Amino acid sequence: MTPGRACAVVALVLLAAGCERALKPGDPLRGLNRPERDRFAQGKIVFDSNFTPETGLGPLFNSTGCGECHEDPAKGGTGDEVEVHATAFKNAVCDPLVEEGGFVIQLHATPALKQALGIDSEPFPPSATARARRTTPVVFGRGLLDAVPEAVILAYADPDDRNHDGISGRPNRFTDGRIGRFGRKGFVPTLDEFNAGAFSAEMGVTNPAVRTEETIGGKPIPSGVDPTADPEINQAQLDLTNAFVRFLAVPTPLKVNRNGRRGRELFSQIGCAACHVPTLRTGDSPIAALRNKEFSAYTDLLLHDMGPGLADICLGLATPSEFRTEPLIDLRDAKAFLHDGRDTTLEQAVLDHGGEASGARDRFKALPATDRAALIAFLKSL
Amino acid sequence: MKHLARAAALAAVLLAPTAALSAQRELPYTYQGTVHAVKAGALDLITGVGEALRLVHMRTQPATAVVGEGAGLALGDLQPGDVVRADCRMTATGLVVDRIELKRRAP
Repeated sequence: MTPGRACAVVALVLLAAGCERALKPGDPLRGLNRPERDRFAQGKIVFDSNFTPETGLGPLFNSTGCGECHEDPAKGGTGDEVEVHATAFKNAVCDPLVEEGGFVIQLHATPALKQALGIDSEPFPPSATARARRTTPVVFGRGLLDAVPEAVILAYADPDDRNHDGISGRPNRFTDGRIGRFGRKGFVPTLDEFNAGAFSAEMGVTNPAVRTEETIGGKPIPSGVDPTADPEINQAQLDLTNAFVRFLAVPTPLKVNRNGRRGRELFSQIGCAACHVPTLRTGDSPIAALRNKEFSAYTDLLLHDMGPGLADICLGLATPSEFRTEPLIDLRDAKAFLHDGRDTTLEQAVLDHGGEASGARDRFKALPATDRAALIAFLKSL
Repeated sequence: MKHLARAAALAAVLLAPTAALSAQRELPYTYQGTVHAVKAGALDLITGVGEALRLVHMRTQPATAVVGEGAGLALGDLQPGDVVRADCRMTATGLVVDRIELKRRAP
């Protein structure tokens, strides 16, 4: 090959790489093979299906299907539903109130349960010491987060703040002691478990991983109100749902102008990136599209004390004021911010950070207005 | 002697299904979870999948072994929040725990 031709080939390769189509919210990961793409498509159908009492819904539930909440701007996205969680924090021990029906409070009841007990929702647990509002997060990129090795998460942990930067992240742990990473409190260890638990806790749909219905305030479900035999979905349906969620890509960040690039620099300079770690790398995986991939995560998957202003419930090891660093994924489509949706602008959300984030927040406050706008412009590109 | 052997064989044939049924009823179960409560003769453990948590009630016996921290422990040494592994069997009257291993103390 002549030098001229070689240059032309290199130029073409570079052009093709530069022209790689941007991933939109709801798109699958790049690099999936044909069977994986088929499972993504089939899983999307299960994710988007609506359950009825005859197909397993309830008797207590928050939603009739995954896609009913995770819908904006595409399946797997956010939604305007806000649910309620409650736990009890006594003597530094967190009680998830399992005796009283668990910490996810279902806000709806099937007609049969309403007729039997005269209730429209799960009774609020009397032993609760706190209640929390929880918005619907996007689930884009969750398969990538699931594939981050525990060693990577632990490497970011600094529970005793040995580097004296005022930030002391630590992992949460599930009931059996395993490291958690999913949920606003980082309580659930794996994506498959989160999904299986959500079928039960959010839709009242039993499945091969959660074979029994939740109690109603600790009391068994009255006979005759749950006509569908358990498990109400089979392993194939659960597996397809897991495949859909696992293969959802992180949307490609929008191209930023000079202002946005300045914002990205400031994001690191003022200390946001100490917890919202911009990129994480997955480890080994049987799925090539998930194996050893660096991706935009903007989280360390660790718990951080966010101060009394944001505190609500405990969960696992997380105290009321500790939250897992929220992955900053698809912020461009978010309309409500923070775990409970209290803020309607990104600027308010940054200013509401407290605890370990107080330093970064104060540095943000001290920035000139143009720099603050630049940082917000960068966040809106995610 | 012949009669005795026949009687033993007959007893074995008759008792075999009962023994099998009894073994079937006493299926082994292993749970790992967080101690919710330690009561007289009982242990309540929080287990579950994801955000769907469940309470597992199991009976303890005087012979239930409790181990951890490199030594034998008493049931009363367990506290809410401790993470344990419980080796149980399902009997006709519910779960009975034979061995409890403390995996992690409550923080």
